[in-house]
Amino acid sequence: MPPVQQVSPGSQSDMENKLPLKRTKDDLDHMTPPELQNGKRFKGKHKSLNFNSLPLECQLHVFSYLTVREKCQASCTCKKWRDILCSPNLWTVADFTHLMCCELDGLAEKVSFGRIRENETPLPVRNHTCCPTSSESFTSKVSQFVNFLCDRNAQLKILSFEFDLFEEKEMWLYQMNKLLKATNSVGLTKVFGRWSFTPHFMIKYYRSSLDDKHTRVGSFQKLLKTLHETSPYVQHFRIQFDWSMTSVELLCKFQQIHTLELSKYWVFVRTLQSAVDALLDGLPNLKRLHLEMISPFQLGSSHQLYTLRSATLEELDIRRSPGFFLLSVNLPKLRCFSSQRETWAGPVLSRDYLNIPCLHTILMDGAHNLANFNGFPLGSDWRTRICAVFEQKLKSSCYCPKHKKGNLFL
Amino acid sequence: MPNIKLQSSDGEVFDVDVDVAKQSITIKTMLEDLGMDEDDDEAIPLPNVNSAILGKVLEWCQFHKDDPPPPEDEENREKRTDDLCGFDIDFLKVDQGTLFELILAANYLDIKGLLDASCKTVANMIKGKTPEEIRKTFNIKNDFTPAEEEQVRKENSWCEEK
Repeated sequence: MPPVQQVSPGSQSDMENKLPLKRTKDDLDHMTPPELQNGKRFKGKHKSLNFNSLPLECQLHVFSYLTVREKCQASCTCKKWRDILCSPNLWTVADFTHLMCCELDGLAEKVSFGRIRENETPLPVRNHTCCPTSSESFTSKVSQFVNFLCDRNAQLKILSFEFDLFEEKEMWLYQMNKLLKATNSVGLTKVFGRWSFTPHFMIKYYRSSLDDKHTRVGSFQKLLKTLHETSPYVQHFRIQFDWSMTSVELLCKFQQIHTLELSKYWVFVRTLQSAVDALLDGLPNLKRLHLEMISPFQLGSSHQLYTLRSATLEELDIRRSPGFFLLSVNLPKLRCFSSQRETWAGPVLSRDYLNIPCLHTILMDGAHNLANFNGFPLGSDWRTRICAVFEQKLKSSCYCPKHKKGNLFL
Repeated sequence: MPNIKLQSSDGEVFDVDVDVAKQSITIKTMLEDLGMDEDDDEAIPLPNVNSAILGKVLEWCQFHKDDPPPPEDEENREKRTDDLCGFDIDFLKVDQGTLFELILAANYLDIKGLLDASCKTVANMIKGKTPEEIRKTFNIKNDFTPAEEEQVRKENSWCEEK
């Protein structure tokens, strides 16, 4: 039976007899006037529509697919377009990471932190030399973009930046604070930020001292404070994180957080178990946690093994965290877990020094609802029966004597 | 599969699979809220859609009837326009009048997939064009005075390559 049957308006009685339902496709094709078969024409009395006669909501829908640059171009078309393109809800993405490149596309979603592993979408190639622009010009573009968004009272949903917030007397922090306060950013849900380095800014290459590195954390915390004032409903952070108790407390103020992608700020600085606990305990809606944490190596029992406890966490990814070893988990809702064993670059050691528990045991004890390990869907009997693929996956991620060959910790 | 009847503004009656028609949230709500019986012989009137457009809309719904529901979080996603499927690209190769009629119908019938696809098609006609080219494409008159045009150009020139 053809999907759509055309019945002429005069055949009411036929319809009541359900006759049309019995017709074959050929009958129908024969009955349907040719202009209706392809649907490309419509009845003559209707005057052809143009873009400017569409309802505003449809025009906004069309414009919502344009990039910043395209919206700016289109504003010059006519008065009506200029007015529509000033609508605050067309300016939802403040992406400063692409300000210097040829395209001002909101690519924030595609940019991710840290090293790229197999099976992950690679970083978009950002060719900083494609438009050779001076630092002054970059500074001025940032400030113009901020003013532009403020003028339009932009309804921000996504903020994406790469600025050393501490740089030049916190001038980038000033711009971000201004943006958050002078736009309508209460609906901001995603914040993607690297706050330790400004890739485009080349006035000087100064080697930042350890003091600078400490003070910069203060700039980051100032930003979190402003963010909480203006945009307390952020749900997704992809940021560098310093794991200080102050930063943990500030982050926990965002109670709607469901996704955290925390990349490293310090390298080889030990993160306290209490900070991890405070973060997981403090976020009642956390579902996804991706960690990049490079832990310092300490001999024997002094090496930190971590316990993760959360009633809500469903996805945990610690592939980018060399030296972050688990002792136990209590994650009743965990569905997906990813971990990968690092090639050890430290001193040659016997594994016996470390005594890292088996991942399978840890998960068996504390993650009853696990359904996916390193991308591999687990059968419901994974706790009692380890299939060959699962075993293979464990061998590439677990440090226990059963899954890692050789006694040397390499 | 049970069928329902839909009546276009110009009186044509379409006999349609319920699941196909229910991609229109407007029709789905009517059926559920108004308790319209699926066996009912009475046609649902759609006074804002003519038969040619309704035929097209239903053709689209038929092709997409088994699509998975769209992801929840889509509103905050980066918006792409290069992800239309082959069927949609060919389906939307129509004159501008028809394209805008389809947008209106998809909006009225609340069919998100069709609304997205047709709006993306229009957005693609804007992308990469200068204001003059846009005016030509959509037959829009430049109603700025030279001074206003200079002003609006200046306001929006900050993101130009330098």
